[in-house]
Amino acid sequence: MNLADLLHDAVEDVEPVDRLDDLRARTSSPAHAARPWWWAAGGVVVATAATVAAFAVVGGGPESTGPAGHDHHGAHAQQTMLVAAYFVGDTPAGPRLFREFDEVPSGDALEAALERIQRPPSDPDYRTSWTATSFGAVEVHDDVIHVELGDAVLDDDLAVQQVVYTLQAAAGERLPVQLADASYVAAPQLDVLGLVSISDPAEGTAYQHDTVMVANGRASSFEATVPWELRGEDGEVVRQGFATADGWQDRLHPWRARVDLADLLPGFYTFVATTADPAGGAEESLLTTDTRTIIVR
Amino acid sequence: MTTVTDRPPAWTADEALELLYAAHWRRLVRLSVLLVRDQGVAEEVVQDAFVAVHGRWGRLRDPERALAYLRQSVVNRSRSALRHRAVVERHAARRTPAVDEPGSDQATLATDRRETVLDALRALPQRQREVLALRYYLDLSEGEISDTLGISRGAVKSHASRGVAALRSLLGSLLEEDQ
Repeated sequence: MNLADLLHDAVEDVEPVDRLDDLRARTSSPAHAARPWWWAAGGVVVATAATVAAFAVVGGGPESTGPAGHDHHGAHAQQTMLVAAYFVGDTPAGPRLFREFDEVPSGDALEAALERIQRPPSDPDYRTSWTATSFGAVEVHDDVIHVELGDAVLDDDLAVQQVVYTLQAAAGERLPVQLADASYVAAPQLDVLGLVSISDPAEGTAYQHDTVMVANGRASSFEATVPWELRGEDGEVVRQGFATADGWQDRLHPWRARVDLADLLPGFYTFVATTADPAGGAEESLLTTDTRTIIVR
Repeated sequence: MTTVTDRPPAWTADEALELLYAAHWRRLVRLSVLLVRDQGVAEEVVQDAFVAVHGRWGRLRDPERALAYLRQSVVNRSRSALRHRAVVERHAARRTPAVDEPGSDQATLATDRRETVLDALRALPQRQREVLALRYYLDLSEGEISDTLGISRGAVKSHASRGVAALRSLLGSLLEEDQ
């Protein structure tokens, strides 16, 4: 047999159980839906609390970032910390880096951050350039971050910047990154980062329907304006507004928005932040956009 | 990173879910079995992927994009599931009692062959396994695989050729030379 035949043959006797009813049940009660099945088994990967992420941006150190309370899997409390990990997403200007905060088991900040970008991002809009075996150990000596290479091939500038930005964030300072026999520094933010990004909410965060969601992120957007929308499952806009960032030139600047969730029906919503359109009337596809799926209960 | 058109979706999220389920449930579970080697886990993984695609239907709207998203979601979730130690443990537990049942030789041979192929896949590095499953099971093009995995076409090519070489040495005569 050739390989295609062998692979088809290998799973030919797999007859999956019909789960359509389960699926209908899960999709009609969205409060349960975004919880991956293995959460129940004690896994800890995805969630990021708004409060903790804000803390991590300032602190950045592994000791300072023990999440205070995640009710939904608190029963399996294990020491965790947040890492800021950069992933690749698409923008009108081509692929750029976007940052997400991910909760990982406590440990060495550099190791954890490097490990995190060798796994898929939480936000399915993003991707990573690296695989589990791309890199080996990482450590700092003589003010240089040294990364041991696995099977990584360093032929993509943005992929290298993904490593540099992620490790510099973990180190808390902009140290050069030594990969193989070359040393890399961070490229200017406006050259490699998506021009708007959402730090909070994290992908899949759930909110009670009568609360206010505080969103924040970074942007370099015309006149510091960051328009945002909250969209329902069919794309209809249920809330909109704009945030004003601390600035808009030379680099990304922090922005923050309050989104009132009162009176929203339970379900999935998409929070969308975009760059502002200086001319007015531009197609949305020409603006940089970052999105997060949230759940309202 | 979302492009929204003014065209209203032809299907609701619920309708899309039913149609996608009817067309792709079995095939995607089988794909996931090739990746994680465990049917129960594969069913969970694919079910989660369907829930995710339902939640994003408002943004996907198009059946082709929804299918691409489903595939990507199944591969990513299979990868995450593999990292979850329980999979390995459960699989080990399930495999031990395999009592010899002297059925027909044909059936035994087929079962052996399937086990051998799945074992060989499991022995490959994850990316090679993913590329081979997408290429030879789902019959995706290099470009589609590159999109699904978020890696370059060059990387797809090299994972594929290394994977095929590795399988050839693992499977020996089961795999004919005329690929």
